[in-house]
Order: sequence, then structure tokens, then C-alpha cells
Amino acid sequence: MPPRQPAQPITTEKPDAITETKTEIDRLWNVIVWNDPINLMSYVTFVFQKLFGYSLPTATKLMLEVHNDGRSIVAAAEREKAEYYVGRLHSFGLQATLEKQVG
Amino acid sequence: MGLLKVRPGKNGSLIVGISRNEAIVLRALPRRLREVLNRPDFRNEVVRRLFPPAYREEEREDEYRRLLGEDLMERKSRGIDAFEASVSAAEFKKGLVEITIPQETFDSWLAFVNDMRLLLGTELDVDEDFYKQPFESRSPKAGDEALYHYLSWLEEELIHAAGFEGLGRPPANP
Repeated sequence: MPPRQPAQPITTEKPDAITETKTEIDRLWNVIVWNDPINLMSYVTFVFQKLFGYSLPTATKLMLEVHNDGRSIVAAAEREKAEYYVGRLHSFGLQATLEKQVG
Repeated sequence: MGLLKVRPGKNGSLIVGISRNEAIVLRALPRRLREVLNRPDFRNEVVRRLFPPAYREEEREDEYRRLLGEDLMERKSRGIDAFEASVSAAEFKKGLVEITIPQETFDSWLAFVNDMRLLLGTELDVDEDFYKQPFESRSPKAGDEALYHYLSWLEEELIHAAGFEGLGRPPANP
């Protein structure tokens, strides 16, 4: 059995824990759509318009980013909302993931 | 060559006009997707394509599946039901089979057509080069390949008719 350690004063840990939790909550998550060879360009544009309410030019720009760059950040939101978006993108058959914003 | 034509109907609905043979092909589609969804095995590539991961981290992915997996499955089932209901209620008029897609089920209907494309495309190993290859009518996969292209055509026509023009097409209602 390891030697008993002196009890740590709770005040030294608590502020850090609170700060970390708050940062975690405040940080936004990027919703990323990935290119794939099956989904049609027109369909991807349609989904962006439908789901996010984007105009045709904005939806087309994002779709072309997906097509040309392999991926595009199509929205950023708190985790729960971002998960909802990814779920809806999955329901439409798009390949989408979440990524925590850096910084 | 198909007779496919999509036109606006009443109350925001769309009417898909097709031949009898095309209707027979469409009627068989729901069963094929249901077979996959009824026993979703994640070792199956089609299942993995229909339910892609949301996270790289296993723990978060498990949580996402637990929270949203059922909803995703329900939405896909709703798509099958919407498609099946309208195809079953199709009418035969002036030599064409007419399928009405009510406005409220359009998204589910379209998502079903796309899920079928994902199923076929995955089984056909569709990649960027696939579209450059000539169609081989004697290939054992010719039937599915033709169906894949037909559903792509149907999907494009639906999006256009619904007023979501997409790239390089004039608006449906200028």
C-alpha cells in the first residue's frame, strides 16, 4: 500500500476545475463536411440551403470548398447544437464531423 | 431511355412522371434499403457509409451514437415510408405513371433517393474515376450501375423542380 499522502487543500483544485469546465463550454465546435464521390454537387448545395438557410451563392461557395479542398467548415456552434447539425447532415447522407475550435 | 419528368403539382407538391417499367424498378427500392437498416451491422461498408462517424475520439463517438443514433435511424426509416407511400399511391395517366410527392415529405423522399445512391455507390465502389469509365452493359454490375445513374438523374430533376437550382442550371421558376 502506498504511503498516505497529505490531504490536498480543496481550494487549490477547485478554481482550476471551474475554469477548465467554463472554457470547455464556451468553446465552439466546427461542423465540417467532407468530400465524397457519391453525393451530387447540386444535392450538397440543396442540403446547405435547407439545413442552414444559406443563400444559393453561400451554399454553392461552401459546396465548392468541399469539392475542391476536400472539406469545408459549414457552421460553428456550441457542442450540442453542432452535434444536432452533424446529425441532420448525416440524415441527408453527407459525411460530417465535429472539431473543437482551436484557441 | 426513361420517360422521367418532374413538374409542380397542387399545394407545393411535385409530380414525377415515369414509365411503367421505371415504376416497377422504383417500387423495389425500399425493400433493399430496409434489409440493410433492419440489421445494421457496422462491419458492412454500406452501413458505415449511411451512418458515418461524427467524432474521431471513440468515447465521444459512442456518446453521439447513444444520443442521436436512434433519431438518425428513424429519419432514414421515415424516408423509406414517404417514398413507399407515394409510389404505392401512383396513378396511371395518359401512358405515364404519376407519383405525387407532397411538399411536407419532399426532404425525406429526396433523402431516401440519396440513401439508395449511397447504398449502390458504395457497393459499386464509386470513386472520382467511376464517372469517366464507359458503361459496360455486359458487366454483372450493369443493372445497379444503370440504376445508380438513373437515381442521380431523378435526384437532379427533383432538386431543380423544387427550385433549388444548384450549379449551372437556370431557376425553375424565373
